[in-house]
Amino acid sequence: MNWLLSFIWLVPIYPLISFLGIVLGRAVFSYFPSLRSSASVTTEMNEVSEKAVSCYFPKSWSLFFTLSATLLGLFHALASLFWLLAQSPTEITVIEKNIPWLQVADITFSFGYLLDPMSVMMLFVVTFVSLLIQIYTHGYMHDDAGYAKFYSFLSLFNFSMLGLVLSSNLFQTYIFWELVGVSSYLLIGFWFFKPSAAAAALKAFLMNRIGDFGLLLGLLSFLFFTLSWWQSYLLDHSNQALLSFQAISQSSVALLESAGPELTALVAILVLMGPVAKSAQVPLHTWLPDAMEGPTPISALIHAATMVAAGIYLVGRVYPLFQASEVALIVVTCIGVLTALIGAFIAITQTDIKKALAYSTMSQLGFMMTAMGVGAFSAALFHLFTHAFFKAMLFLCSGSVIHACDGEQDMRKMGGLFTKLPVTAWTYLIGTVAISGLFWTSGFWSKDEILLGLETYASRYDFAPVVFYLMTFAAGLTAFYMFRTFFMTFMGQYRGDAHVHSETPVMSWPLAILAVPSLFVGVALSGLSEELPSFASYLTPVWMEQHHQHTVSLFSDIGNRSQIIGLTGLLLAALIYGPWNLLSAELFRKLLAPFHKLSLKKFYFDELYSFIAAKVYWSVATATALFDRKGIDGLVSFTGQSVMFTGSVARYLQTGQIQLYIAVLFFALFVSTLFFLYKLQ
Amino acid sequence: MMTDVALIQNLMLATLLFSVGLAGVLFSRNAIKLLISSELMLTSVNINFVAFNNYLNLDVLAGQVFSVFILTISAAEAAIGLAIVVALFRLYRTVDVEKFRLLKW
Amino acid sequence: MSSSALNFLILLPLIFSGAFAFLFNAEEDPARLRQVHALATVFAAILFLFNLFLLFIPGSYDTVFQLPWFPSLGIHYAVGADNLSLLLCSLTSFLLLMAVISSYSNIKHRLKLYYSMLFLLISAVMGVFLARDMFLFLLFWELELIPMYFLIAIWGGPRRSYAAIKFVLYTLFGSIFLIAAILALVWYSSFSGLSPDSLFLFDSVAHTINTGLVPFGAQVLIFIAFFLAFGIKLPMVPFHTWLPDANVEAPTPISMLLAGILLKMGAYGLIRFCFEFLPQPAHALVPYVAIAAFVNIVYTAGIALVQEDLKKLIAYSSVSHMGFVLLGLAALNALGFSGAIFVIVSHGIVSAALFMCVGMVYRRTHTRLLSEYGGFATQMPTIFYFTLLMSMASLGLPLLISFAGESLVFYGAYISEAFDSISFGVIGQLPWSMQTITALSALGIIIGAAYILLMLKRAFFGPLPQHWQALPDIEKSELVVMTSFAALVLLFGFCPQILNGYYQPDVKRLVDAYSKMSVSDDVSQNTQMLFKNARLVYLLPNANQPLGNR
Repeated sequence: MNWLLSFIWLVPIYPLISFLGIVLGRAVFSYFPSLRSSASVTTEMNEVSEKAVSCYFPKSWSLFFTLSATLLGLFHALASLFWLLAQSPTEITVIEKNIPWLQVADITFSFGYLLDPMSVMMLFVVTFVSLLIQIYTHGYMHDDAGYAKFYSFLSLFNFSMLGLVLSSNLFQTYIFWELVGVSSYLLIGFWFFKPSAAAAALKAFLMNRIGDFGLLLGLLSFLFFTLSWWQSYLLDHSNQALLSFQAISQSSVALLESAGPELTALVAILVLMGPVAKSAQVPLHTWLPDAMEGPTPISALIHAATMVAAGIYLVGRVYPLFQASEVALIVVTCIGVLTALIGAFIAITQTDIKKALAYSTMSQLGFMMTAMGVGAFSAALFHLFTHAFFKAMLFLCSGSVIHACDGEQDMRKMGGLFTKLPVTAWTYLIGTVAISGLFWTSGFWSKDEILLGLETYASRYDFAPVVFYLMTFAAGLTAFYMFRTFFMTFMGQYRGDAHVHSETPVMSWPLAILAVPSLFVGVALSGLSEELPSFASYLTPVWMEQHHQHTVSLFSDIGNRSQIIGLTGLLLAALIYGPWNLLSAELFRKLLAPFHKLSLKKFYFDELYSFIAAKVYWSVATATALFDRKGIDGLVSFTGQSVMFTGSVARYLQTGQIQLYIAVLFFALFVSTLFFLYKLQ
Repeated sequence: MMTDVALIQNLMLATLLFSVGLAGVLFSRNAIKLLISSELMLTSVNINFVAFNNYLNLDVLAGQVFSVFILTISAAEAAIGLAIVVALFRLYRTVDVEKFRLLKW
Repeated sequence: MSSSALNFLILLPLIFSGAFAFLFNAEEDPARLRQVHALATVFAAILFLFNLFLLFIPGSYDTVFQLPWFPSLGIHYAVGADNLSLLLCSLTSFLLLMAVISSYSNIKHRLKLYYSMLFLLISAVMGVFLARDMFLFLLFWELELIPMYFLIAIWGGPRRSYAAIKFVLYTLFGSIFLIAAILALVWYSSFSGLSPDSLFLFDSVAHTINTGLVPFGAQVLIFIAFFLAFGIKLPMVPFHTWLPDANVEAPTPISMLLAGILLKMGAYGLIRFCFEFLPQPAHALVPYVAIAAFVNIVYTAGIALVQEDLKKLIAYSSVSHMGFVLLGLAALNALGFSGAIFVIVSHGIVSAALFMCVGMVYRRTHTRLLSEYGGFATQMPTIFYFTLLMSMASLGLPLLISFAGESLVFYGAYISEAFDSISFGVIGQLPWSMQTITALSALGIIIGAAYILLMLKRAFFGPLPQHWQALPDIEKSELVVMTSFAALVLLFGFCPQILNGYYQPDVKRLVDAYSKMSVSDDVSQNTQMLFKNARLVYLLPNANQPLGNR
């Protein structure tokens, strides 16, 4: 056990080795054809051209590499989980180890790992969900040409994500932050021959780069104001690194002292830009729905369960920084509320099953962000935790549906799949119930905690009750749009024309396994039972005062209310989209025409951004390029040409007539003689 | 007898000769005339040398010696000049200098 | 090892160059060509190995090896190397080896002359990095132009002679300032009481400046002259327009060297002359250096974004990256200097690799227009993966080589206290601190990502057009080159401290020159002096009068 714990730094290394193994293996196999034996090797056929791409690698090897890496990681994660649970929640010792990575003069940037409740929680989520999704991938991608490539990218993602989770300091976080971004880019653009996928990958990377820009500036400003503090702090704490998470709370105090409240707010908001982009918060959210161009396992792993949650994770990591500035926390809340509402609102009109789920992810991330903003710290992480399970499961279900329907993603061409895909349908139903926060499933408990935090918050500001009501409304919307997708996909008559395949065990088992935590992890960790550890008690850091000490029960006021609202949403969805056709969707569409248009057009964010990027900045850049060519280079050419021009004029003095030369010569002589005569007098 | 002639008269003769030569150089088109005119200019220089030598009453006959040198050189120059003119004539069948524009821009 | 071994770094390529020029006959059948290529590879490998040997065997290279050359004028043949010089020499010899191997597929005619010129170029570049005498430096600086002119003008693309002439004339224009600055410094050092036969040595010049003999006004003028000369080579906006032309027209191996080494000569000159020899004017003028850096980074990144020509895009991105060097230098602290040097090396590797990628695509398609590209990832997967890796390195992805350099530059520039505001003389004062300019320059990481990603999307993603159905994938010689580049990109990406630790002594020396100066008030005082006291009297050498008292 201890052995696993002390080698926890190997967790990101395993997938890295697996990634390099697959990449090098592919290279070696394609350049040494003698290694290929017909039995174990499949030629990757390109889907666009019939030409065989020179990549040969046994599928089983890449599967083995990736799975064993994740499995080993899971062992370590379990070991750390047991290590954590062996401690009392009130006094947790954390482990931090660092090695220097880059040293200049007296400043050292380090790589290291920090084991505390938050990282242990994330470590478990990432390895567990990853493992199941990687198994599922085998079924989903089995016939795809880029099977080995896909697994290598999955390993790369795992490396980056686990490195991010274990990071001991902000500098290291930034490194892995960008690496998860690039893995996401590669995986969104996995089917790069589709122009839409290529565009989506580019958009995702660029949006995240904007966030990274803010995050970088935030880090730099933070360091600028606290550098001397850090230097004296690190003298006493030699095992910690520069910008170490352990010291964020103390350094935030130092920041507030040296920078003042306004600049502290600015630093916090700059840092927030990173999570806003990564967790698809308004206004940098538009990449997430487009990212659904990637294969569905990716949508489940990266764009639902783990990477997008990294934004929330980072906010949690640097939470004292936000606490230092009231303004920053209000900004976090506003962004969260806006995201939750806008996401839910758009999800209602989506017809593509994956896009609907993507907007629901966005909305749920908004819930978490809001929770962070209002100080319900552990609630946000709890929702992150439960959401990872049921949202991954929902996406895998959608993948299963899409796989069964031969790539069809439009819910209008589905329906009645309940009998054909029973495991998928049941697990999807469980996920829907969980995300709607109904019937004491895991989503109920985490959403309950968030709403509880909001209620406590409501007394703090004048506007705060509005936040509470809006979020309750968003919770109702969640139930509505999620059951809408359920009814459209699984109930009623089958409306498509593709032949529906049956489920394969390799794809349905991960679903079944994920259903367990989706149902029970909430109640288990809610603190209802004295026997089981309570999530909140472990995840509330020591530097945070307990904002509320609520007693958990099955029938609390808030729980009842949210269940009623959720059931209303369910009822509405059933009435409109259910198989019984009791209410016409058309009627509502007409009734709420402006809202419908707004939702269908996604609040015009895409139009706005493409206007800014493709029109405004593009014309500026084109004008700059023109100025560079014609203006600056023109000036250079002008210098050259003016010399040429002078020469071309001056040459006409050279007439070739000797008598002219002599005349000029004597005239000059004459003039100069006169001149000197005049001078001598 | 010789000393009776004033310097200024000598110089005036030289100037006259030089001007005639210059006019010939500037305004004649015939290359041979050009050569002859330049000889005239050289002769006027010779007169100047001799006149100044006389005027300054030098013991050494530097002016006279120089004029001898110049005569020699001008003879050589005239020979080369004539040769060039002949060569040009062979090429262009003319001795009109305005037709020779090899060094034009 | 003593520093006399450094002579071989200059001599060996010179000998190789001579060997190619005089020893072989010019018969050009394919077998013969292969032999010449192989021989060049052997020569380049010898040079590279010798260089590695110097790099890893500790020695007293910084004691200058000198021979009197023109004693009456004070000129020596003097070579020496600190770690920075040695590092750049190693970069040079490595890139030479890469360029030679990539010539296999790119250069098909007049090989003898080609290799002769190539090795002459390398000899001159080595000389620039190793010279410890002003005159010798100038000599090598100018010598490098001759082979480069021919390399572009003979083996280049359609507009090669225009590009070659532009390159040479532009650099010569910069050399005017270089000569003026060097002569001015030497003139001042003739008053220093040093023995007149060593006036041109770096040490004498440094001594002259350190004793305060050169008045501040003159130092500023000399700094500006050096800055112009090296800024043109760097290149720095608005003196950058020669680079896209030269890079586009040059053949692939020469583009690699041009971007990989020749630009670094400018950067090296900036560090050595402007920032090491002239700390006082540097300190006073950093605000303008920082502005130049910002313009370099953001302005050219925007231009790169809309380029249709792939090679031009990479060329403009080079200019943009050189802005990071300027920004790091403007920080005037250890992080900034380390970052600048790191970017010099990382960009040398990454840009050369990217030009190699462009060359590989061009060789197969015979066009560089992005609008005619598309979907190459399916046709040339190996080339695509290498291009992807290098593109990611170019946009500063962590754990690849550029990231450490760019981070060091940003961190250094951001925590720098070099200036609080920028004075523009009578026009007024701009309340921008180093932090503001750094933050604005950081926009470059967004635009940088944009043009790189757009390039990848347009060239490699999407459906494959019908007319590109039979493009062959990577060849063996290309594979060797790209694998070497990739290995370095990953090695220094994962362990940047190997590189960063190596040049720390030089960084320390640089920083020490600045740590003595008081911080912000000194700068504004100096800048004000700059605009008020612009009179010739202040340029006369002053006998041991300390600065800032006038």
